[in-house]
Amino acid sequence: MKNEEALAVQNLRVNYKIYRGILKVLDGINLTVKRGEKIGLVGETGCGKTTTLKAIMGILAGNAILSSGRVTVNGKVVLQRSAHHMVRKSAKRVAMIFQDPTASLNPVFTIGEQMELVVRYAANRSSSAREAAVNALRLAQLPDAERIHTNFPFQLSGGMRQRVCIAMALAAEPNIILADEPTTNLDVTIQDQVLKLLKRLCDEQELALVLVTHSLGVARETCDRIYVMYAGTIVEYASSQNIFENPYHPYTRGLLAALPRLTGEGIAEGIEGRIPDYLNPPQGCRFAPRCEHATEKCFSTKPGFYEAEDGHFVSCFLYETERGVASDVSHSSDTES
Amino acid sequence: MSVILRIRNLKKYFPTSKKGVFVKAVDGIDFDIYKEDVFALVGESGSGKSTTAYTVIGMYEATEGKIEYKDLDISRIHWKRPIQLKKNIQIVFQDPGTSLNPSKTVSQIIGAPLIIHKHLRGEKLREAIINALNMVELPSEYIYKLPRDIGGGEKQLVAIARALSAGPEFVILDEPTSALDVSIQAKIIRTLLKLKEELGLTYMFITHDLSLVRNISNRVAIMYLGKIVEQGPTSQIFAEPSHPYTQMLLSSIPVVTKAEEAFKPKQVQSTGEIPSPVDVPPGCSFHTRCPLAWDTCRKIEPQPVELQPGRIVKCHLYSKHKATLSGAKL
Amino acid sequence: MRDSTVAIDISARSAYAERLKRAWYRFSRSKLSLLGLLMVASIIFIAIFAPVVTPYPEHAGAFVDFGNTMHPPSLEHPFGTDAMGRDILTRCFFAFRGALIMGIVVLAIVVPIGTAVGLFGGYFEGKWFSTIVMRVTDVFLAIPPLVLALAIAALLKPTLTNSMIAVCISWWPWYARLVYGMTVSVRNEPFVKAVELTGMNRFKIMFSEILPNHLGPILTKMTLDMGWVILTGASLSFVGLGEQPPTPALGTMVSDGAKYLPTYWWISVFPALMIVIIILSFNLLGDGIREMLTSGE
Repeated sequence: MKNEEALAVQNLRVNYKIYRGILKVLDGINLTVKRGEKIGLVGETGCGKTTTLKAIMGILAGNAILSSGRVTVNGKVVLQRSAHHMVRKSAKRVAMIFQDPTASLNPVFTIGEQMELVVRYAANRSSSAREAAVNALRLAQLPDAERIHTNFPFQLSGGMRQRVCIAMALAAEPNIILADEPTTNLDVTIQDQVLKLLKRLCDEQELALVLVTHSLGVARETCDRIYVMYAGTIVEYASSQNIFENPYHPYTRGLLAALPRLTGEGIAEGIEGRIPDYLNPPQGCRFAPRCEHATEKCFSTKPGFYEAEDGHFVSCFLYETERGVASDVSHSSDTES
Repeated sequence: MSVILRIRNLKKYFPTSKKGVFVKAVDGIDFDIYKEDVFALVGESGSGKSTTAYTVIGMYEATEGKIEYKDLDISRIHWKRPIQLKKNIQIVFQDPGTSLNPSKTVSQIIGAPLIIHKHLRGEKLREAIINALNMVELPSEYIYKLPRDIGGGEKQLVAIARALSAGPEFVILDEPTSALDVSIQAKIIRTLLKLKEELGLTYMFITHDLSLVRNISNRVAIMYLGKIVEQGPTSQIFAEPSHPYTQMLLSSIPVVTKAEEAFKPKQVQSTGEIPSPVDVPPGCSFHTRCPLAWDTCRKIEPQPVELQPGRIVKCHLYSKHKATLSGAKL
Repeated sequence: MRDSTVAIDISARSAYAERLKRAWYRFSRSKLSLLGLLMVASIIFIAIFAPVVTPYPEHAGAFVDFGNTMHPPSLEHPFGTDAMGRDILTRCFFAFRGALIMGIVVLAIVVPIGTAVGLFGGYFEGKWFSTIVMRVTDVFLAIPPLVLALAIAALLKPTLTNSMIAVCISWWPWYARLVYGMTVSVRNEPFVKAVELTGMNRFKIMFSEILPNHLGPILTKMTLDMGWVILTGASLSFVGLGEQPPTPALGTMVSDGAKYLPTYWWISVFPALMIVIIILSFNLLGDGIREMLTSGE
């Protein structure tokens, strides 16, 4: 049970059509989430982490083109795009939490009304919808759940609204929660509370969590495993502990070094340059133009994943000789279609 | 070292729609900023840190109290201040997306203070603009670009170039990197620190990011609900946070190394939320969230206590009321 | 230094060209805006070169040919002739001149006044003098423009100039309102605060920092309004309060022909059709400009 895959994304490629041409954003994303596992998808602005989530939820923007990929939720294929056919179904038992709780709650309905809708349609229960809603609010540690049930969103603080969004996600009785920067708009003390709540709820109810964030610290404190994204590719993934103690990819290293430390070690250099233009992304490794270790090969060939340590995969030619090609790369060819 | 900015009992209240009810955004704060220091003002949203900055720069008129810049009382709204003062005190805003005029080129943006304060024109103006751009390590050909054509980090560098172009002495940095990615943040901060050394500037750094503060500032003041709860030299505050709120803030920061993990205070868990500044709790305004609060805290407002020279904390744990403290340990 | 200056100028020029190209792409995405542009260009061309492009330029004035009255549309007279035997096509084309002059003059007066009032009111929003100015604007807005223009034109002598004055008085508040709203929304933006705190003169802030951000919407409204101003002018001349005979005016022509409806329908239908075409053209063009200025990628 515990080792079953709750969510698998294989070879996901998404482009956007704009005036100047086609933005090749996602370049073959592979990721798996086991039941009850909390993974972090970490990267900077414009690295494609939100696009990945949107593709999984099937809510990509109108000008997005899905050029390949397969998404499996709880063992069922919900999205498959190959040369010959296209499958698109709505994913069941997946709930999403957005960055801005104010924008994701309807201002003209009470919290209770909105939550009962979720209970009725997502969890398919019409009797005792109210009770289920109040229970979910209690689970999200909202003080005085009965009162909040009758409140409008504007009567609550930002932190409380995000808790309501978490409660609403729970009310849908999901087994996978996708959270897109859920604490970015919150203060640090409130962020701490909300993250702890999210983590505890996922542990208690054995929910799988995909946490999209730009903050390495947030991912470290919440997630079991972390995928680091750069320019539409995953560059490295491993357990949280490994990523932070032994980062391998030059990008991960640069990113970690750029973070100011509480222990006070001064301000590091940061990473020179900026993310590539998606209209015309680098042929080989997308990080090559900013990488100090880049060789000819990096510019011409895309690196596969190499297992630098047990369960620690790096997409960088520096580690090609370490242990050979990882099994995960085989996902990139669509075997079943 | 000489004091460049002296704030005494500064208050800034905003009226609400209800008569006689005020939002007490800043409620009686005192601090000094020394020349060539980086002074960090830290707090969460609603703490009044930005209001303090905007009152110092003159965007708001102080309700009460004194702001002295080099012994000159400047607690007036900006249009009543002498023009020389506006050259000396500059501000960099949080979001470069809104602080640069979308219909102006980089050269017009950076040129505005140069025209106003230095009366430059023609080739001289152009040279000064290019100098300012090079100062923040942007290439000269940026002068004809529009803000929408350049990246977020570069926009912030343009905003910094604008603030520094006319040669100020004191710069207020209002969360200059919170809208940017960490790899870009590093570059901006390094540029700011380099320029501070080169030009002998003094910074007042407004932020909510304590990890950043630890690495760049000499002195810190922590604000909560319009009051400064703790202030002092950065190294002391981080090594030995005294106020329970400072401890809570520190323990809430998500960190990336074990060393940092060990560094965080453990005993104070984050609970509750910052109350509305319209309805400030009586006594110590932090008592609603403080795990160590006792009766005195709910009734009497703590007075500032100077633990060491320059290190001031506002908490009954350190005041004479401590005698009544029973059982609470720190 | 010299070389780098040249290089910078070249990159500036190419950036400018790129901006124009992108704007043209957005504009030309819609075939209708292209059609609008073409039609507006043709209308302006015809108005300027009316004596050359019309078959009977002498019919534009006080010309009478009782031998050729009330001819239905034919190859010789595509729009037919009127009760005086004048070619209606010729008179319509000549009437474009008055219509365009009306539109251009009215907008040239109304836009700067309305914009200045709106900027002033918006920038000083909350101050008593701003409140007075904006309430006066509201009073003007409360009266339907055509009724106000009719009242004013009736008081003054019925000439083209006076009807323009009438339209101007009823039109400026719309620009004042538009600019006021936009100014209020950017007044507290950090980019305005930044120049205020640097000590920039307030008039300079209003006109050189805030105003350029409004030019797009103002231009769009101007293009759309061109048609409506011409329509109002035609309505005034329809009731005899505009351009006086024998100078051709579309409104007058429609009202003259109305007496002969429905038998001699062409006398009023073609001028009316011309009014429709003018309004349509400017609206299509205006939509294109709006598209060009507002849509991102």
